[in-house]
Amino acid sequence: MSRVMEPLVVQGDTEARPRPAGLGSYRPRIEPTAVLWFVVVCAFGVIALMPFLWMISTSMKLHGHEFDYPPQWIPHPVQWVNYSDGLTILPFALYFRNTLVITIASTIGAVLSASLVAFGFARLRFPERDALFAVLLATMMLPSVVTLIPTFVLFKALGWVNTFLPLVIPHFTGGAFNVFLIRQYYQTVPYDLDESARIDGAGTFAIWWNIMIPLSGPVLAAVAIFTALFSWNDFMGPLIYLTNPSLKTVSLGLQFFLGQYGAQWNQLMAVSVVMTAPVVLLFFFAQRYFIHGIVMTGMGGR
Amino acid sequence: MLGSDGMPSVGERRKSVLHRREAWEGRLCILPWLVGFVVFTAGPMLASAYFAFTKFDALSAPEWIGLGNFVDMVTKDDLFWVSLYNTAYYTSLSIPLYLLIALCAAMALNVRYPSVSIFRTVFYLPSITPSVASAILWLMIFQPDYGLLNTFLTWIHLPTRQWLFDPQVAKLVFVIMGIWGIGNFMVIFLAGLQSIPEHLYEAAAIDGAGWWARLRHVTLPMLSPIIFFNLVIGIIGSFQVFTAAYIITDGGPVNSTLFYVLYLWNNAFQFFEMGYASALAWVLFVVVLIFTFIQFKLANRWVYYEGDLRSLEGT
Amino acid sequence: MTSFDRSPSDARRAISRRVILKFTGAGAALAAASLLQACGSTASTSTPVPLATAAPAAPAKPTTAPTTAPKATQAAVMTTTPQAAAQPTGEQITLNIAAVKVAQTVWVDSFQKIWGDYQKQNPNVKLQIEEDPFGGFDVKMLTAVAGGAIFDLIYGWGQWLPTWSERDVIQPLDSFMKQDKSFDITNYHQDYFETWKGKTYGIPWFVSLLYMYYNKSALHDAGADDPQDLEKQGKWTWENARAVAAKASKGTGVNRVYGIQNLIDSGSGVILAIAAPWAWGTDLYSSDMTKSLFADQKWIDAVQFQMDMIYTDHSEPLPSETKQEGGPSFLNGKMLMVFQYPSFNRTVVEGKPQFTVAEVPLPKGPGGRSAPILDNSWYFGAHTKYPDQVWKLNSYLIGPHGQELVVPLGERYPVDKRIKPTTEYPFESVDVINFTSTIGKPIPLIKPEAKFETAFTTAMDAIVLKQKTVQQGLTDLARQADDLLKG
Repeated sequence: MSRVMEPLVVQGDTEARPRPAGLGSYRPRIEPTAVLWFVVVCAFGVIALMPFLWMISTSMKLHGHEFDYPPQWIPHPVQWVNYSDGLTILPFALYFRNTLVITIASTIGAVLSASLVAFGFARLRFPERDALFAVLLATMMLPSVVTLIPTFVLFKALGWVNTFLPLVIPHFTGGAFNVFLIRQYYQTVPYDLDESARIDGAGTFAIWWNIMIPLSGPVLAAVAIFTALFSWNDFMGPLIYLTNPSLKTVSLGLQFFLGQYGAQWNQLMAVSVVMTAPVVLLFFFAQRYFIHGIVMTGMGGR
Repeated sequence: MLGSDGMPSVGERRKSVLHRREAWEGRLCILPWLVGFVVFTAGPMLASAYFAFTKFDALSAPEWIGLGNFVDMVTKDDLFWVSLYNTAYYTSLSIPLYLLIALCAAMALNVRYPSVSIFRTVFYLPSITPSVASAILWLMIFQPDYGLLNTFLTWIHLPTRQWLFDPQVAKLVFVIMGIWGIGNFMVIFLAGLQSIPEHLYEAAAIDGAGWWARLRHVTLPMLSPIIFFNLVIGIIGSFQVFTAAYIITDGGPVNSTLFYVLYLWNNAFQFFEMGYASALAWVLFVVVLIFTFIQFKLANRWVYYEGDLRSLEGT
Repeated sequence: MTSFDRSPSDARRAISRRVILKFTGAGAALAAASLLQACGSTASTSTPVPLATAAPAAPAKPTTAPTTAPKATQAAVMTTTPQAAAQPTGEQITLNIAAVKVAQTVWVDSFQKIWGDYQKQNPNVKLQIEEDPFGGFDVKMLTAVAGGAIFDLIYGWGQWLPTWSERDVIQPLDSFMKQDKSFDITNYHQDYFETWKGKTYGIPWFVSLLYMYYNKSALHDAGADDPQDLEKQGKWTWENARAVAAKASKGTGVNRVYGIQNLIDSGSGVILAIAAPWAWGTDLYSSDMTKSLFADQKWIDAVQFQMDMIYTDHSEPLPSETKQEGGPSFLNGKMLMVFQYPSFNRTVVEGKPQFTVAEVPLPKGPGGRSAPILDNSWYFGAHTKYPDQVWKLNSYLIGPHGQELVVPLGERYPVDKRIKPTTEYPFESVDVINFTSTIGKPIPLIKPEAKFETAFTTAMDAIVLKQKTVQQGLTDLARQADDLLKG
């Protein structure tokens, strides 16, 4: 199997020199193993796809027949109306817009603040640093179930309930995980770069902004994807902080399909499909960007 | 270094000035987190720590009972031990399994192929699919009489089980269901694999190493920091497994899938025992902390950092 | 802080290490972050995403839309709606209502009319409805109330009634009932009131009575006696129901047709299972609520009877078979007699069954029979500023106009005796409904009900799965319930 990579491997004669096969090797021309690979990956890929395919399939079924046995993968009749019904019974256009606002704001906040904070932890020395970092790690270990109400009371005292603020502002304070992540990453960047920049008279923040940020495209993209995914799917936050109907988000909207005495499964699935699609697209495109990006910059150094 | 007059040299003094400035800049950099922590996080965490020593239903004032919750937890509450066991069972089975599968998947997808991004998206898709949709699908697959799995097993003449309705097996079902969530681990491994320098493989090949030897001596060591990272994060996460059980079984049958955080949740929001739930949360906190600490200590033995070890201090 | 002093060759290696850790960054973000997102804590305000679902609950009672607009067929005998005698006119007030919303056309439309019409009739009142999904309503309410929110009217759910009333979140209605001169309590089914410790907290706007639906065609084809006939002859007992079920059950494996629904299926919970002990003449607790009755012989007999139907007759399915959509159900013809609340009507209609559906009251047991009722009330906030207005609103909801608007949701028995229940579908029987209303009994509550419910379903699971004998399982449950009763 070959790796996604640049000409680096092409040193000399690719065919004459025996290439290490299997991991990390350049793919041979005649590929029986490649065919096998394709078959295996496709098989598992289908298995991996099953939940999503089933979701799509159910979204087009008649109500009451979503769970008929034997399971129907291709519904007869196909009910496209579930999409229009599901998306209009509640103001999903509004919900999408709200979710988009929250997600974009959170993502920008997370990327900026986490990278700055991580820079502080990774690059700058101060006596309390390691102790504070341990505290940061520790905050990830307490199940948030028990801080839900105290946090709510806090935001209520601040007057932020029924606004987007409780959902967005905390992302501007560098989430513990993001900071940990980016900090790991920064520690791999050679200090030489910082030093030469300082010799050239750059201040600390200039170093952060002009050197670290450009170099950390991949990890920042990762933080962005993560935060976006999280905000997009977040249910608990919007549930307890947003009461005004015009502020609600898609994840809340989805939950409305589940009633006390039963659920409108087909419409629920239809809206889920629509709700998942943007995230899938985001991942598809972003993943090409950052993985590719990493390889290029990483390999370039050797 | 002190100068001949016993005072810090000029160089030293300038360095200390720089150090002080660096310290303040450092503090400034982490200020967003610090402010966030103090304002948004510390208060609620301290509050929950306080509640752990109270009887509290969230609707009226908490009543101090000292260690009462902790004593009850250990002496009177069977479900505490049950849920702890369930969670430990789940973690010990799932983490090795998931990491292994994710690694294999990552290796398989670490290819140069025009549409490999499609495959990667496909493998990541289950992590993006809303839990509700997946949950219903699982119920159908694992349904004892009608489900796809048992139908398949019968077809190949293997014995069937009652899956989610069999207390002996239900946890295992969750472990299996979790396999679809390995996309996250997989992407990390993928990224890690792609960064392993090609020349190492070449060197190994020249030395006559087969694929297994290359795996053992090049891939795994170079990947070990990532394996370690996934391990730490994976364990922290799987100790808090919650969503699937909440949706699908609600802890049943006979509490066999009552995971710790689910039990905690029930106490907090259904039994009106926020104090007890807080105590449970802090116990979990300590357990996870200990595990993480042990992992970091053990890391020195098997995690290989190619470069300067000291540059990874604190990880 | 580390020293990054290195030789050039070190730098090269360091950069490749950097690359590794770049991936640690990139991937770890996704991996751990998403993992933690799914499982637990990351950002300070977020928590695991619990998406509640009603799916695994066996008596799925979806409220779905009727195909035609319902006609109020009852004659509203009442001349005036009970309301507070005097209220301030002209003063604009806003009432804060915490409501559950379901994204179903019938629900959305019905409530739009319900709230809309009230505001039209009372232009000085503005209803501020806070709507939340049912899954998460408990968290939302607890959080909001803990944070100091004041509601005037709250969607009621019996599971919270004990704690909320004791914690001064909701207030009793007894004084309102006395004060309102136009309110005559004898006009109402007092059995349906939601009470706790002797005080009334809810007069339901939605009452459902449990009775049986059965597949008349299949029973007839199997040569079994027809339940309605048996009932007319006074012979509709559990013994006979068992015989009918045994006779009509047939087939094997995946295609097996079961005669009757499993009452002690843990997926249904107490609201269904309680029909069994009631039929044997016992109850959950003693009338003074000091002791649970699970260890009684009558309980053992009742549960054993069900167990026999499962394991001896094979006329009742196991929970594993019914606990999900797609298993043997009434609509797919694989379960011939089911216990349901009337919101099931809509499901039947939408399912377009190919067989004749009929209704019959619950069978008689050796100790008599009572039908559990599910009542949903609106609770009054304890700190409401406009108690009289809230009472007026509640009176509207339980009055003729309100009840008319609620019919599409599946309600079949108004709490007000003067309002006659409506029937819409050919298989509905007014006789059954009327008769069942006379044997309706609310389910006793203890505090907190969730804990009891969990203990109960766990115990039933253990018994049905044969992990414990009936006797052992019930004895253990009795012990747990007694503990809970002590508080």
